[in-house]
Amino acid sequence: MGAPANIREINGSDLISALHLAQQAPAILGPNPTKATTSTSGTAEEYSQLEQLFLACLRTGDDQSAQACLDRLSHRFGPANERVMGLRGLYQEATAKDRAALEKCREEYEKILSESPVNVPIMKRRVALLRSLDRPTDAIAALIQLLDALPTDAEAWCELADLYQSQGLGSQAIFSLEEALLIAPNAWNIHARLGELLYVSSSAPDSDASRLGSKSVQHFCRSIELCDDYLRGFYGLILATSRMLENGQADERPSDPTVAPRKTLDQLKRFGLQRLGEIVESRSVDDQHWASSRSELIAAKELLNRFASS
Amino acid sequence: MSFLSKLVTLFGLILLTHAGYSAHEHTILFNNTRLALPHDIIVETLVAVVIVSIGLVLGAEKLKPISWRDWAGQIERDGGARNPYLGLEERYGFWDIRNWTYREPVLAVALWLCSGVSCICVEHALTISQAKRQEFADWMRGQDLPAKQ
Amino acid sequence: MAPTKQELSLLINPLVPEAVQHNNRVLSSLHSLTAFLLGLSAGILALQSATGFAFYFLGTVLVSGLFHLALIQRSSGAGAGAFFPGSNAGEIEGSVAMGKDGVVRMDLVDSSKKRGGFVLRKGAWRDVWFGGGVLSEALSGFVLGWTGVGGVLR
Repeated sequence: MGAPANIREINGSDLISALHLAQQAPAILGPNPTKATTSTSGTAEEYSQLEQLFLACLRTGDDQSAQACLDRLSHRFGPANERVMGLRGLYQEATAKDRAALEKCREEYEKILSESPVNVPIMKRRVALLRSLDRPTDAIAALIQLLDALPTDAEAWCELADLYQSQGLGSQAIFSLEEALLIAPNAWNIHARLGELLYVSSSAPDSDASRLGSKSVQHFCRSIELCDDYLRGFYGLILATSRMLENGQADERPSDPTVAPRKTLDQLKRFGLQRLGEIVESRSVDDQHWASSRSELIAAKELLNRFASS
Repeated sequence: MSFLSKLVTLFGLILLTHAGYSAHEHTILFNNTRLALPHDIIVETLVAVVIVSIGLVLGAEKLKPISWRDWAGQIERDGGARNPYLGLEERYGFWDIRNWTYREPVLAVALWLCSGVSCICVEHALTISQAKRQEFADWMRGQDLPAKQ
Repeated sequence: MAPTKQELSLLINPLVPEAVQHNNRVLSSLHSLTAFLLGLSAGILALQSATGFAFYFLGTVLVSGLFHLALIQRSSGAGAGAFFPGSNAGEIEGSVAMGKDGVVRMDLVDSSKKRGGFVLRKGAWRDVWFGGGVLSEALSGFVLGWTGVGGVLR
């Protein structure tokens, strides 16, 4: 399989790189993509690349290549493989014409789950489909059912947090992310995400703002501690500390030992501003390297300008 | 292994081979193992050892920093695509294929709350996130982007 | 039971197992290569018994010293602590302790003029000088080269 060397470097979330990957599909799949290869060999790496390609093709609307990828995967692992079943479900959802077809997909998932209740990929697909059908309460219920069966799935906890957040249930979302952090304690992006959630929650009128704000500062700090020069972490740190300082939530000597005193917050803010400035400076030099996160960079510049002018 | 280190190692190996050959000839010539080796062979061997060691040390693979923060920082500097925890934010298992969102507008939430910030990226992220799959495909085809090789 | 200093170090400043493995592999491959080479030269020099082993240890010290120098130079002064977990598997230099209120305080080594800001692992130099199979695989490689060349030449 003539997979390009940089296939692993592609950021799955980035639209442009997804499109580039999908454009290479005919070359990767070979001249006759409809015919599944006869060999059942191949490394795990190759098949995970194939899965990536499948997702990229679906995302960019190249259903034919996606079908070819799926055929290969099910030829290798058999149609009863749970992961392949999940991918097939994804394909059917993507190509469904209308809501009725989606409902049919959902019924199919229910049928599969009644036969094998812990088919994790299908359970996840069901949650996603319920969410897509604008039934978030059912999606949350289904997700909790999944987590009862499999409490160590960090991805599911993160999805639950996202679902709760979308329903405006901040404290539940925070709890779910904390659970995810118990499973993956070193995930710096989840620490930053939790910091963002706490920051958003602390702005709600009837909340314990100083405690939430200070927790948010703590999580941003941890994300920076786990990842050198983490732009997102510094950005959040500046926002969270400056709001605590501005709103007068910072005491010289707080009664709660987990709340940072005013002096520390001030130091943290200045440190954050200084480092963010350095990061922005170093990254704008080689811009094409930063194509995938240019929006973050622009936002950081805006923030710095705001603080420089005030 | 860089060119310089290869050259140094090769040179050292040649010296060592030469010293070995000389020692071999020496023993054959005098047919007497108890006779000490001449000084020049000893010196040549020692010099060869030092040179080859330098070459090998210079040519050793680069070490990787073992601290989590250095390693993670390098990943982020490379654009974050190799982040092992990216899956927790992308959540492929829960992917909503029909109405997928652009990379979770990470900063957008925070930016929203900061009043008075006019940021193009927020609008950009929001418009794209509302695009449906098919719309996006059509739009992209129209753009005719050069393929990255 | 209060967590030990090593546990706290790993908690606050985790290691990347992949990188640790990679570094150990680099080090041990370097040591086995040079040990074989030292064996060849010991054979050429017709060293015997204790002299041969003394030669091996001198040579290994030379290689480790060179390696350490290169390492300090490449890491811009951070030293072995940035690349090897050290004898206590990740314990960092400086003080890490959990107070009674459950707050962990950490002070890095305060020679701030030279290496401020680096997180260094305690006893990492031992990994460079004695690690990488110096007394096991590398030594057997040395003996192999030594006896082999000695047999051919004499």
